[in-house]
Amino acid sequence: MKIKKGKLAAFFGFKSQNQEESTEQKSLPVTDKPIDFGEDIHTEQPAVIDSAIADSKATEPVAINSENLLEPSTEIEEKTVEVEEKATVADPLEVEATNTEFKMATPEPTMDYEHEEEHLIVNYSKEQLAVSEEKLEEFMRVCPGAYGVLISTVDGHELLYLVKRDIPVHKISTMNSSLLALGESIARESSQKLCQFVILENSDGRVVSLRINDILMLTCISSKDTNLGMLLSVGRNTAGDLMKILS
Amino acid sequence: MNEYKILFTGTMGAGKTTAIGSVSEAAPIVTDVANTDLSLGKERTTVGLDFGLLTLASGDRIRLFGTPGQQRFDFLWKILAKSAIGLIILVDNSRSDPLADLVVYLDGFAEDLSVLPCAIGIGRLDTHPVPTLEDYIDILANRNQLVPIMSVDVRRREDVVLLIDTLLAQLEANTFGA
Ligand SMILES: Nc1nc2c(ncn2[C@@H]2O[C@H](COP(=O)(O)OP(=O)(O)O)[C@@H](O)[C@H]2O)c(=O)[nH]1
Ligand SMILES: [Mg+2]
Repeated sequence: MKIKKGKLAAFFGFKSQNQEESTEQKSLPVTDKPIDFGEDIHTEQPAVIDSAIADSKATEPVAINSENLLEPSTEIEEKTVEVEEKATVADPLEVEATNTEFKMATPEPTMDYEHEEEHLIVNYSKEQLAVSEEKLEEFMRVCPGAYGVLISTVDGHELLYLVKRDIPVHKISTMNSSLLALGESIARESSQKLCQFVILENSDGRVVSLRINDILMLTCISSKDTNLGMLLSVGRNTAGDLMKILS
Repeated sequence: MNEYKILFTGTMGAGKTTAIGSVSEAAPIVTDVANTDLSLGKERTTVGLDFGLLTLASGDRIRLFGTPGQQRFDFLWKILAKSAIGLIILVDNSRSDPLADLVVYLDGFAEDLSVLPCAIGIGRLDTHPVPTLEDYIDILANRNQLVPIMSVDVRRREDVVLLIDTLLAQLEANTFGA
Protein backbone atom coordinates (compact mmCIF):
# COMPACT_ATOMS: atom_id res chain seq x y z
CA MET A 1 0.00 0.00 0.00
CA LYS A 2 1.25 3.45 -0.88
CA ILE A 3 0.33 6.59 0.90
CA LYS A 4 1.02 9.81 -0.87
CA LYS A 5 1.25 12.94 1.18
CA GLY A 6 1.50 16.47 0.15
CA LYS A 7 1.26 20.03 1.07
CA LEU A 8 2.05 23.35 -0.45
CA ALA A 9 5.27 25.00 0.59
CA ALA A 10 3.48 28.27 0.01
CA PHE A 11 1.76 27.70 3.30
CA PHE A 12 5.08 27.97 5.07
CA GLY A 13 6.04 31.11 3.27
CA PHE A 14 9.32 29.63 2.09
CA LYS A 15 10.80 27.29 -0.44
CA SER A 16 13.89 25.14 -0.37
CA GLN A 17 15.60 22.28 -2.15
CA ASN A 18 14.18 18.85 -2.61
CA GLN A 19 15.26 16.56 0.17
CA GLU A 20 15.48 12.83 0.57
CA GLU A 21 14.28 11.75 3.91
CA SER A 22 13.64 8.56 5.71
CA THR A 23 11.81 8.36 8.93
CA GLU A 24 9.64 6.09 10.95
CA GLN A 25 6.04 6.80 11.46
CA LYS A 26 5.16 7.23 15.07
CA SER A 27 3.19 4.35 16.48
CA LEU A 28 0.08 5.93 17.85
CA PRO A 29 -2.62 3.77 19.38
CA VAL A 30 -5.95 4.65 17.89
CA THR A 31 -7.75 4.69 21.16
CA ASP A 32 -5.11 6.72 22.88
CA LYS A 33 -5.76 10.38 22.25
CA PRO A 34 -2.54 12.17 21.42
CA ILE A 35 -1.54 15.16 23.44
CA ASP A 36 -3.85 18.00 22.58
CA PHE A 37 -1.73 20.77 21.15
CA GLY A 38 -4.83 22.69 20.28
CA GLU A 39 -4.67 25.12 23.18
CA ASP A 40 -0.96 25.73 22.98
CA ILE A 41 -1.09 26.32 19.30
CA HIS A 42 -4.01 28.58 19.72
CA THR A 43 -2.18 30.81 22.11
CA GLU A 44 1.42 30.46 21.02
CA GLN A 45 1.25 29.71 17.32
CA PRO A 46 -1.41 31.83 15.71
CA ALA A 47 -1.92 31.44 11.97
CA VAL A 48 0.88 33.30 10.30
CA ILE A 49 -0.42 35.81 7.84
CA ASP A 50 2.82 37.63 7.20
CA SER A 51 5.21 35.55 5.13
CA ALA A 52 8.17 37.31 6.72
CA ILE A 53 7.12 35.90 10.06
CA ALA A 54 6.72 32.51 8.51
CA ASP A 55 10.24 32.76 7.16
CA SER A 56 11.67 33.29 10.59
CA LYS A 57 9.68 30.37 11.92
CA ALA A 58 11.00 28.18 9.17
CA THR A 59 14.49 28.31 10.57
CA GLU A 60 13.40 27.06 13.96
CA PRO A 61 13.61 23.37 14.68
CA VAL A 62 10.37 21.45 14.69
CA ALA A 63 9.48 21.28 18.31
CA ILE A 64 6.51 19.01 18.30
CA ASN A 65 7.44 16.28 15.93
CA SER A 66 11.01 15.10 16.21
CA GLU A 67 10.60 13.01 13.07
CA ASN A 68 10.66 16.09 10.88
CA LEU A 69 7.74 14.88 8.88
CA LEU A 70 7.36 18.32 7.53
CA GLU A 71 10.68 19.23 6.00
CA PRO A 72 10.39 22.07 3.55
CA SER A 73 10.86 21.18 -0.07
CA THR A 74 9.77 22.36 -3.47
CA GLU A 75 6.52 24.08 -4.17
CA ILE A 76 4.52 20.94 -3.71
CA GLU A 77 6.01 18.58 -1.26
CA GLU A 78 5.12 14.96 -1.62
CA LYS A 79 6.24 11.88 0.14
CA THR A 80 5.49 8.30 -0.56
CA VAL A 81 4.97 5.92 2.25
CA GLU A 82 5.65 2.33 1.42
CA VAL A 83 3.98 -0.12 3.69
CA GLU A 84 4.82 -3.78 3.43
CA GLU A 85 1.73 -5.80 3.93
CA LYS A 86 2.09 -9.16 5.57
CA ALA A 87 0.07 -12.17 4.56
CA THR A 88 -1.51 -12.63 7.90
CA VAL A 89 -1.99 -9.40 9.67
CA ALA A 90 -3.64 -9.41 13.03
CA ASP A 91 -3.76 -5.69 13.27
CA PRO A 92 -3.24 -3.88 9.99
CA LEU A 93 -2.97 -0.62 11.84
CA GLU A 94 0.06 -1.82 13.69
CA VAL A 95 1.80 -2.90 10.51
CA GLU A 96 1.10 0.43 8.96
CA ALA A 97 2.52 2.13 11.99
CA THR A 98 5.75 0.16 12.12
CA ASN A 99 6.84 -0.81 8.60
CA THR A 100 6.82 2.64 7.20
CA GLU A 101 9.33 4.32 5.02
CA PHE A 102 9.03 7.82 3.70
CA LYS A 103 10.26 8.64 0.25
CA MET A 104 10.12 11.74 -1.84
CA ALA A 105 7.89 11.28 -4.84
CA THR A 106 8.19 13.41 -7.93
CA PRO A 107 5.89 16.38 -7.58
CA GLU A 108 2.58 16.17 -9.39
CA PRO A 109 2.51 17.77 -12.79
CA THR A 110 1.76 21.38 -12.07
CA MET A 111 -1.27 23.06 -13.50
CA ASP A 112 -1.64 26.50 -15.05
CA TYR A 113 -2.95 28.10 -11.94
CA GLU A 114 -0.05 26.84 -9.84
CA HIS A 115 1.48 30.29 -9.49
CA GLU A 116 -1.56 31.51 -7.62
CA GLU A 117 -0.67 29.30 -4.68
CA GLU A 118 2.20 31.60 -3.76
CA HIS A 119 -0.19 34.31 -2.80
CA LEU A 120 -2.47 32.43 -0.48
CA ILE A 121 -3.62 34.10 2.69
CA VAL A 122 -3.47 30.95 4.78
CA ASN A 123 -0.02 30.48 6.18
CA TYR A 124 0.42 28.08 9.05
CA SER A 125 3.47 27.20 11.10
CA LYS A 126 5.31 23.91 10.69
CA GLU A 127 4.05 22.89 14.11
CA GLN A 128 0.46 23.46 13.18
CA LEU A 129 0.86 21.50 9.98
CA ALA A 130 2.70 18.67 11.74
CA VAL A 131 -0.07 18.23 14.27
CA SER A 132 -2.68 18.51 11.53
CA GLU A 133 -0.92 15.81 9.57
CA GLU A 134 -1.06 13.55 12.60
CA LYS A 135 -4.81 14.10 12.71
CA LEU A 136 -5.07 13.09 9.07
CA GLU A 137 -3.00 9.97 9.74
CA GLU A 138 -5.24 9.15 12.66
CA PHE A 139 -8.28 9.55 10.46
CA MET A 140 -6.83 7.10 7.95
CA ARG A 141 -6.06 4.59 10.68
CA VAL A 142 -9.47 4.77 12.32
CA CYS A 143 -11.36 4.47 9.01
CA PRO A 144 -10.06 1.30 7.32
CA GLY A 145 -11.82 2.11 4.05
CA ALA A 146 -10.50 5.65 3.82
CA TYR A 147 -8.10 6.27 0.98
CA GLY A 148 -7.99 10.03 0.88
CA VAL A 149 -8.30 12.90 3.30
CA LEU A 150 -7.67 16.50 2.28
CA ILE A 151 -7.59 19.82 4.03
CA SER A 152 -8.22 22.58 1.52
CA THR A 153 -9.34 26.17 1.47
CA VAL A 154 -13.04 26.81 0.87
CA ASP A 155 -12.08 28.36 -2.46
CA GLY A 156 -10.40 25.20 -3.59
CA HIS A 157 -6.67 25.14 -2.84
CA GLU A 158 -5.35 22.01 -1.15
CA LEU A 159 -3.35 22.65 2.01
CA LEU A 160 -2.46 19.23 3.33
CA TYR A 161 -3.51 15.78 2.24
CA LEU A 162 -2.97 12.06 2.51
CA VAL A 163 -4.04 9.81 -0.35
CA LYS A 164 -3.52 6.09 -0.80
CA ARG A 165 -4.66 6.03 -4.40
CA ASP A 166 -3.71 8.11 -7.36
CA ILE A 167 -6.37 10.76 -7.19
CA PRO A 168 -6.08 14.29 -8.59
CA VAL A 169 -5.94 16.35 -5.41
CA HIS A 170 -6.05 19.70 -7.23
CA LYS A 171 -9.28 18.78 -8.94
CA ILE A 172 -10.80 17.14 -5.90
CA SER A 173 -10.07 20.24 -3.80
CA THR A 174 -11.52 22.61 -6.35
CA MET A 175 -14.59 20.54 -7.13
CA ASN A 176 -15.40 19.89 -3.52
CA SER A 177 -15.17 23.58 -2.71
CA SER A 178 -17.89 24.13 -5.32
CA LEU A 179 -19.91 21.25 -3.96
CA LEU A 180 -19.73 22.43 -0.38
CA ALA A 181 -20.68 25.99 -1.36
CA LEU A 182 -23.59 24.65 -3.39
CA GLY A 183 -24.66 22.38 -0.55
CA GLU A 184 -24.59 25.29 1.85
CA SER A 185 -26.67 27.46 -0.45
CA ILE A 186 -29.14 24.65 -1.12
CA ALA A 187 -29.57 24.27 2.63
CA ARG A 188 -30.22 28.01 2.89
CA GLU A 189 -32.71 28.00 0.01
CA SER A 190 -34.51 25.05 1.61
CA SER A 191 -34.72 27.11 4.80
CA GLN A 192 -32.57 24.67 6.69
CA LYS A 193 -29.84 25.81 9.00
CA LEU A 194 -26.20 24.83 9.13
CA CYS A 195 -25.00 22.48 6.38
CA GLN A 196 -22.95 19.92 8.29
CA PHE A 197 -21.86 17.52 5.58
CA VAL A 198 -22.10 17.18 1.85
CA ILE A 199 -22.24 13.45 1.21
CA LEU A 200 -21.65 11.78 -2.12
CA GLU A 201 -22.91 8.22 -1.98
CA ASN A 202 -21.44 6.15 -4.79
CA SER A 203 -21.78 2.46 -5.66
CA ASP A 204 -18.38 1.64 -4.23
CA GLY A 205 -17.57 4.48 -1.89
CA ARG A 206 -18.34 7.84 -0.41
CA VAL A 207 -16.96 11.33 -0.53
CA VAL A 208 -17.83 13.50 2.44
CA SER A 209 -17.03 17.20 2.66
CA LEU A 210 -17.39 19.45 5.66
CA ARG A 211 -16.20 22.76 6.93
CA ILE A 212 -13.32 23.14 9.38
CA ASN A 213 -13.70 26.91 9.78
CA ASP A 214 -14.37 30.03 7.73
CA ILE A 215 -11.57 29.38 5.29
CA LEU A 216 -10.82 25.66 5.49
CA MET A 217 -12.68 22.48 4.66
CA LEU A 218 -12.07 18.75 4.98
CA THR A 219 -12.77 16.13 2.33
CA CYS A 220 -12.87 12.45 3.29
CA ILE A 221 -12.80 9.78 0.61
CA SER A 222 -13.55 6.21 1.57
CA SER A 223 -14.59 2.85 0.20
CA LYS A 224 -17.58 1.17 1.77
CA ASP A 225 -15.31 -0.69 4.20
CA THR A 226 -16.06 2.14 6.56
CA ASN A 227 -19.75 2.68 7.18
CA LEU A 228 -21.33 6.07 6.74
CA GLY A 229 -21.94 6.70 10.44
CA MET A 230 -18.31 6.01 11.24
CA LEU A 231 -17.09 8.15 8.37
CA LEU A 232 -19.27 11.07 9.42
CA SER A 233 -18.40 10.88 13.08
CA VAL A 234 -14.65 10.48 12.56
CA GLY A 235 -14.78 13.18 9.89
CA ARG A 236 -16.54 15.54 12.25
CA ASN A 237 -14.12 14.84 15.07
CA THR A 238 -11.15 15.34 12.78
CA ALA A 239 -12.59 18.63 11.50
CA GLY A 240 -13.19 19.71 15.09
CA ASP A 241 -9.60 18.91 16.06
CA LEU A 242 -8.30 20.70 12.99
CA MET A 243 -10.40 23.73 13.79
CA LYS A 244 -8.56 24.05 17.09
CA ILE A 245 -5.14 23.41 15.56
CA LEU A 246 -5.54 25.67 12.55
CA SER A 247 -7.29 28.57 14.23
CA MET B 1 -43.70 32.35 -22.78
CA ASN B 2 -40.18 31.10 -23.16
CA GLU B 3 -37.41 30.54 -20.68
CA TYR B 4 -33.82 31.18 -21.65
CA LYS B 5 -30.59 30.59 -19.87
CA ILE B 6 -27.80 33.11 -20.17
CA LEU B 7 -24.35 32.57 -18.72
CA PHE B 8 -22.10 35.32 -17.33
CA THR B 9 -18.38 34.67 -17.20
CA GLY B 10 -15.13 36.62 -16.91
CA THR B 11 -12.26 37.16 -14.48
CA MET B 12 -12.73 37.22 -10.76
CA GLY B 13 -13.87 40.69 -9.72
CA ALA B 14 -15.14 41.63 -13.18
CA GLY B 15 -18.64 41.83 -11.72
CA LYS B 16 -20.53 38.63 -12.64
CA THR B 17 -22.13 38.31 -9.21
CA THR B 18 -22.88 42.05 -9.10
CA ALA B 19 -24.37 42.02 -12.62
CA ILE B 20 -26.77 39.19 -11.81
CA GLY B 21 -27.70 40.86 -8.54
CA SER B 22 -28.37 44.15 -10.40
CA VAL B 23 -31.05 42.69 -12.65
CA SER B 24 -32.44 39.68 -10.79
CA GLU B 25 -36.03 39.99 -9.57
CA ALA B 26 -35.70 37.50 -6.77
CA ALA B 27 -32.79 37.54 -4.36
CA PRO B 28 -29.97 35.95 -6.36
CA ILE B 29 -28.41 32.69 -5.25
CA VAL B 30 -24.81 33.32 -4.36
CA THR B 31 -22.14 30.75 -3.55
CA ASP B 32 -19.34 33.09 -2.56
CA VAL B 33 -16.81 32.01 0.06
CA ALA B 34 -13.68 33.54 1.58
CA ASN B 35 -11.04 34.21 -1.05
CA THR B 36 -7.56 33.03 -0.06
CA ASP B 37 -5.69 34.33 -3.11
CA LEU B 38 -3.78 37.45 -2.10
CA SER B 39 -2.98 38.15 -5.74
CA LEU B 40 -6.68 38.67 -6.36
CA GLY B 41 -7.40 41.40 -3.82
CA LYS B 42 -10.96 40.51 -3.04
CA GLU B 43 -12.60 39.29 0.12
CA ARG B 44 -15.05 36.77 -1.29
CA THR B 45 -15.18 34.72 -4.44
CA THR B 46 -17.75 32.59 -6.25
CA VAL B 47 -16.85 28.90 -6.19
CA GLY B 48 -20.18 27.43 -7.26
CA LEU B 49 -22.53 29.51 -9.32
CA ASP B 50 -24.61 32.66 -9.29
CA PHE B 51 -28.26 32.46 -10.20
CA GLY B 52 -30.90 35.08 -10.82
CA LEU B 53 -34.18 35.50 -12.69
CA LEU B 54 -35.39 38.26 -14.98
CA THR B 55 -38.76 38.60 -16.73
CA LEU B 56 -38.77 40.54 -19.99
CA ALA B 57 -41.60 42.81 -21.21
CA SER B 58 -42.53 40.03 -23.64
CA GLY B 59 -43.17 37.75 -20.68
CA ASP B 60 -40.13 35.64 -21.52
CA ARG B 61 -38.08 34.66 -18.54
CA ILE B 62 -34.32 34.77 -18.44
CA ARG B 63 -32.43 32.52 -16.08
CA LEU B 64 -29.10 34.16 -15.36
CA PHE B 65 -26.19 32.00 -14.36
CA GLY B 66 -22.72 33.17 -13.37
CA THR B 67 -19.52 31.09 -13.30
CA PRO B 68 -16.58 31.28 -10.94
CA GLY B 69 -13.87 33.37 -12.59
CA GLN B 70 -10.72 31.40 -11.83
CA GLN B 71 -9.56 29.00 -14.48
CA ARG B 72 -9.26 26.11 -12.05
CA PHE B 73 -13.05 26.06 -11.99
CA ASP B 74 -13.29 25.46 -15.72
CA PHE B 75 -14.96 22.11 -15.04
CA LEU B 76 -17.95 24.21 -13.94
CA TRP B 77 -17.74 26.44 -16.99
CA LYS B 78 -18.57 23.40 -19.11
CA ILE B 79 -21.39 22.29 -16.87
CA LEU B 80 -22.91 25.76 -16.60
CA ALA B 81 -22.67 26.44 -20.33
CA LYS B 82 -24.95 23.49 -21.08
CA SER B 83 -28.27 24.60 -22.54
CA ALA B 84 -27.32 28.28 -22.36
CA ILE B 85 -28.56 30.32 -25.31
CA GLY B 86 -25.86 32.92 -25.00
CA LEU B 87 -22.74 34.00 -23.18
CA ILE B 88 -21.84 37.34 -21.63
CA ILE B 89 -18.16 37.91 -20.94
CA LEU B 90 -17.23 40.61 -18.44
CA VAL B 91 -13.76 42.13 -18.40
CA ASP B 92 -12.22 44.31 -15.69
CA ASN B 93 -10.17 46.97 -17.45
CA SER B 94 -8.30 47.82 -14.25
CA ARG B 95 -6.43 44.50 -14.25
CA SER B 96 -2.87 44.20 -15.49
CA ASP B 97 -3.64 42.59 -18.84
CA PRO B 98 -7.36 42.71 -19.55
CA LEU B 99 -6.88 41.84 -23.24
CA ALA B 100 -5.28 38.57 -22.20
CA ASP B 101 -8.10 38.06 -19.69
CA LEU B 102 -10.64 38.24 -22.49
CA VAL B 103 -8.70 35.69 -24.52
CA VAL B 104 -8.81 33.24 -21.58
CA TYR B 105 -12.61 33.17 -21.80
CA LEU B 106 -12.78 33.27 -25.59
CA ASP B 107 -10.56 30.18 -25.54
CA GLY B 108 -12.19 28.54 -22.53
CA PHE B 109 -15.61 28.80 -24.15
CA ALA B 110 -14.43 28.40 -27.75
CA GLU B 111 -16.63 25.38 -28.35
CA ASP B 112 -19.73 27.10 -27.00
CA LEU B 113 -18.92 30.33 -28.84
CA SER B 114 -18.84 28.52 -32.16
CA VAL B 115 -22.60 28.02 -31.80
CA LEU B 116 -23.75 30.58 -29.21
CA PRO B 117 -24.12 34.35 -29.47
CA CYS B 118 -21.99 36.42 -27.14
CA ALA B 119 -21.77 39.95 -25.82
CA ILE B 120 -18.75 41.46 -24.08
CA GLY B 121 -18.92 44.13 -21.37
CA ILE B 122 -15.78 46.04 -20.38
CA GLY B 123 -15.91 47.49 -16.88
CA ARG B 124 -14.02 50.39 -15.28
CA LEU B 125 -13.16 52.02 -18.59
CA ASP B 126 -13.93 55.38 -16.96
CA THR B 127 -11.06 55.06 -14.51
CA HIS B 128 -8.87 52.82 -16.70
CA PRO B 129 -9.26 54.01 -20.31
CA VAL B 130 -6.48 51.79 -21.68
CA PRO B 131 -6.84 49.38 -23.43
CA THR B 132 -9.62 50.99 -25.39
CA LEU B 133 -12.68 49.36 -26.94
CA GLU B 134 -10.81 49.53 -30.28
CA ASP B 135 -8.01 47.41 -28.83
CA TYR B 136 -10.56 44.76 -27.89
CA ILE B 137 -12.20 44.95 -31.31
CA ASP B 138 -8.79 44.37 -32.90
CA ILE B 139 -8.28 41.24 -30.85
CA LEU B 140 -11.68 39.92 -31.85
CA ALA B 141 -11.15 40.81 -35.50
CA ASN B 142 -7.83 38.95 -35.51
CA ARG B 143 -9.64 35.90 -34.19
CA ASN B 144 -12.41 36.33 -36.74
CA GLN B 145 -14.95 36.73 -33.99
CA LEU B 146 -17.62 39.34 -34.48
CA VAL B 147 -18.91 39.99 -31.01
CA PRO B 148 -20.65 43.16 -29.82
CA ILE B 149 -18.57 44.88 -27.16
CA MET B 150 -19.49 47.78 -24.91
CA SER B 151 -18.45 49.71 -21.85
CA VAL B 152 -20.49 48.75 -18.79
CA ASP B 153 -20.85 49.45 -15.12
CA VAL B 154 -22.41 46.25 -13.83
CA ARG B 155 -23.70 48.06 -10.76
CA ARG B 156 -26.14 49.87 -13.06
CA ARG B 157 -29.19 47.84 -13.97
CA GLU B 158 -29.60 49.53 -17.39
CA ASP B 159 -26.08 48.56 -18.41
CA VAL B 160 -26.67 44.90 -17.63
CA VAL B 161 -30.06 44.93 -19.34
CA LEU B 162 -28.40 46.44 -22.42
CA LEU B 163 -25.88 43.58 -22.47
CA ILE B 164 -28.70 41.04 -22.26
CA ASP B 165 -30.71 42.83 -24.97
CA THR B 166 -27.69 42.84 -27.25
CA LEU B 167 -27.38 39.12 -26.78
CA LEU B 168 -31.06 38.47 -27.44
CA ALA B 169 -31.00 40.71 -30.51
CA GLN B 170 -28.42 38.39 -32.05
CA LEU B 171 -30.64 35.41 -31.34
CA GLU B 172 -33.56 37.06 -33.09
CA ALA B 173 -31.37 37.97 -36.04
CA ASN B 174 -30.23 34.35 -36.25
CA THR B 175 -33.79 33.05 -36.04
CA PHE B 176 -35.03 35.38 -38.77
CA GLY B 177 -32.01 34.66 -40.92
CA ALA B 178 -32.58 30.90 -40.77
N1 LIG C 1 -15.67 51.38 -8.88
C1 LIG C 1 -16.23 50.43 -9.66
N2 LIG C 1 -16.51 49.26 -9.11
C2 LIG C 1 -17.07 48.32 -9.87
C3 LIG C 1 -17.34 48.53 -11.24
N3 LIG C 1 -17.87 47.39 -11.74
C4 LIG C 1 -17.89 46.51 -10.72
N4 LIG C 1 -17.43 47.06 -9.58
C5 LIG C 1 -17.29 46.41 -8.27
O1 LIG C 1 -16.44 45.31 -8.45
C6 LIG C 1 -16.85 44.21 -7.64
C7 LIG C 1 -17.15 43.01 -8.50
O2 LIG C 1 -17.35 41.90 -7.67
P1 LIG C 1 -18.17 40.62 -8.07
O3 LIG C 1 -19.46 41.00 -8.68
O4 LIG C 1 -18.20 39.74 -6.89
O5 LIG C 1 -17.23 40.01 -9.18
P2 LIG C 1 -17.20 38.52 -9.77
O6 LIG C 1 -15.98 37.89 -9.19
O7 LIG C 1 -17.07 38.70 -11.25
O8 LIG C 1 -18.46 37.83 -9.37
C8 LIG C 1 -18.09 44.70 -6.91
O9 LIG C 1 -17.71 45.11 -5.62
C9 LIG C 1 -18.58 45.86 -7.76
O10 LIG C 1 -19.28 46.80 -7.00
C10 LIG C 1 -17.04 49.80 -11.81
O11 LIG C 1 -17.24 50.07 -12.98
N5 LIG C 1 -16.48 50.71 -10.96
MG1 LIG D 1 -18.69 36.10 -8.37
